[in-house]
Amino acid sequence: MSGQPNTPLLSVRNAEVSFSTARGPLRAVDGVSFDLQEGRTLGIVGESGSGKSVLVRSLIGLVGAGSGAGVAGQVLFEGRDLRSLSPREFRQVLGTEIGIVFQDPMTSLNPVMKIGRQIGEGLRLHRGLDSKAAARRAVELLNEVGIPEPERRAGQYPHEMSGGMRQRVAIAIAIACAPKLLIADEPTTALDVTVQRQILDLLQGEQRQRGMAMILITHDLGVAAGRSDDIMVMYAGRAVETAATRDIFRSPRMPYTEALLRSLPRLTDPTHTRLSAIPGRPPDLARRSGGCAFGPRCLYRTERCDAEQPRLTRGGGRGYACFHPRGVAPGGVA
Amino acid sequence: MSDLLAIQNLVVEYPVGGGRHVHAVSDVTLAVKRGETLGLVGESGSGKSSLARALLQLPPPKAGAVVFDGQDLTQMRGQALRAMRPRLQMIFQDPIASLNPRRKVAEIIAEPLIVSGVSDTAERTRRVRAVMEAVGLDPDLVWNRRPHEFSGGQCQRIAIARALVLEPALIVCDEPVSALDVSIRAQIVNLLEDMKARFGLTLLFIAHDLAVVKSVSDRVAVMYLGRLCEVADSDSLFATPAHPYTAALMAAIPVPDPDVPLGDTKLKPGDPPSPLDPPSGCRFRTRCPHAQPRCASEVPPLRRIGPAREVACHFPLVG
Repeated sequence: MSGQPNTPLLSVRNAEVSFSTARGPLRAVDGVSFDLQEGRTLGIVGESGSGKSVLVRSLIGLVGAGSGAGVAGQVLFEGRDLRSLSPREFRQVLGTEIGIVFQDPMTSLNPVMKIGRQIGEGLRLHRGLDSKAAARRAVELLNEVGIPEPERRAGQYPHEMSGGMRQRVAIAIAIACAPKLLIADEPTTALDVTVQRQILDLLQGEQRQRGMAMILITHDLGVAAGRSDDIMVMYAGRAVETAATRDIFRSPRMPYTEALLRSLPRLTDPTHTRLSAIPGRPPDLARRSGGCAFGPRCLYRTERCDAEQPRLTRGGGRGYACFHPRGVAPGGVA
Repeated sequence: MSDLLAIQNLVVEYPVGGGRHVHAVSDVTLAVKRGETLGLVGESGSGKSSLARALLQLPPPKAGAVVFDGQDLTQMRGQALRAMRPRLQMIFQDPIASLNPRRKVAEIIAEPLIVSGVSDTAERTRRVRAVMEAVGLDPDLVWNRRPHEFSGGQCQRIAIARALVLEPALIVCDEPVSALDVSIRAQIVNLLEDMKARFGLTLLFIAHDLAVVKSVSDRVAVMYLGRLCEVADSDSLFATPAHPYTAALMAAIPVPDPDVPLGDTKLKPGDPPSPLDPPSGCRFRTRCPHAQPRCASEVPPLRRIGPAREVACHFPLVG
């Protein structure tokens, strides 16, 4: 079943997601393509409404026909077309090969099922373990994700734990069946900064030890900088820049990426340094124009940007969707 | 600089049944100087929002004094307290939830004027227009619209206008940019800085994002589980944290630069304890890498270790 060398673990082509709204169709994800190799971490960064979460949820069937959304495009996992699988086959892949961690563990965990049983559920369903073996393995997993007194904790309910502990439990569930891909959708946004640090360390540790690939969705450029090999920047439903993490931060090509990095306050700057704000706000997706979605906020906008949508052009290991890409931007990163 | 606000031995507790209390703020003494921005940082359960609300007597604290411009607000009642209210205003984290969805923008901004007795309609209209222009809202475009027609950033501008319309001396900003998108945050931070300069404001700026706090604050106070850990001028606090908790916070910040290696928080594993049952002595000791037996038996008092630095630690990292 495993892919050929150099065949990506996950390959997404022209992913689209649209919703019909009272104001007409809204294209939340608009022709996004990317590849993810085994063992690598792809950070997907963007603001609210950029489509980053909807994109990833559509890949794993959480956004689809059942939710009134129109989904198109191809999703290949180890060369298999996920969208052509039967519901039963799809559940098997999701249960065993792809683990998912969401932002709010309180809503992703079952409030009326004991922690140990929730962790063992996938092992019983997909790995054929009996209840005893699954319970034993659940305790081992709790220990592995750093929960003290794992035997006692396995018998508790989610509400008896702190937010950080619950996220550790969610990670234990996600990795229980030893998936090849872990999807983490804003996994630390609801957590305090010191707890965030522990959870990100745990995710990265598990990933390295198990050789999993990871998709890390975040709005926090600091989190993406420290934890991903490559980054895809999304804006208004499109991928506007993709590159190795270092290249994104050192020499952004897309004016949006550059402006976003410049707008961040830096601990190295003296107090009361004026921030370089981006004017305007992200566009209304239901009223999309024909041109570049970032155009109205862009310093380098020309007539062409209003008339024509720039396509993501790839070359030299990176890609950008802009008619006026930045060179090696001096001062692009403070 | 004189103190505009002096918080003395402030205690805030909430009953949770069974005779138990959340010890939200315990014996905090802190001053805000006239014209400065004091940053207040801490994680959830640190008591920073409880402290902010207690300043405005929402509700009044269990004990302690809140001396604003020479008068102790905790000793004032009814009309006297209402007369002080215009001078202290607050901006909240969620701008959409903090605005009445049924009211027009002009009514929302005018309401504090009505409450404080400005009965002349022409005068109110003039002041609402002026403050809208100050915060970057076009009065002719926004006057009759309602909050749901605006983005989060625009709603925060409306909330700032409402806070400014009575020309307050102090604005308490409780996480004013954390609900906003990254590309909008800088706009609102810059607006607050501009308004501070233009109206001679004093700001208490509460946030968990340390980079934002560093950007706007002259001095910074760090809270943990209801107590102050450290108070210092912004540059020295960030350059050389004296309290081990401050150092851990700094090391935990995700820096948007892949060439900056991840710092070591040196924290002991485990979650923060509950404010229902805080540890004895120093409340940070259960996670502190430098904890000694003395830390469990003796509460470290906030003491001066430099010209503009105070720390509550038996074994500070500097000083």
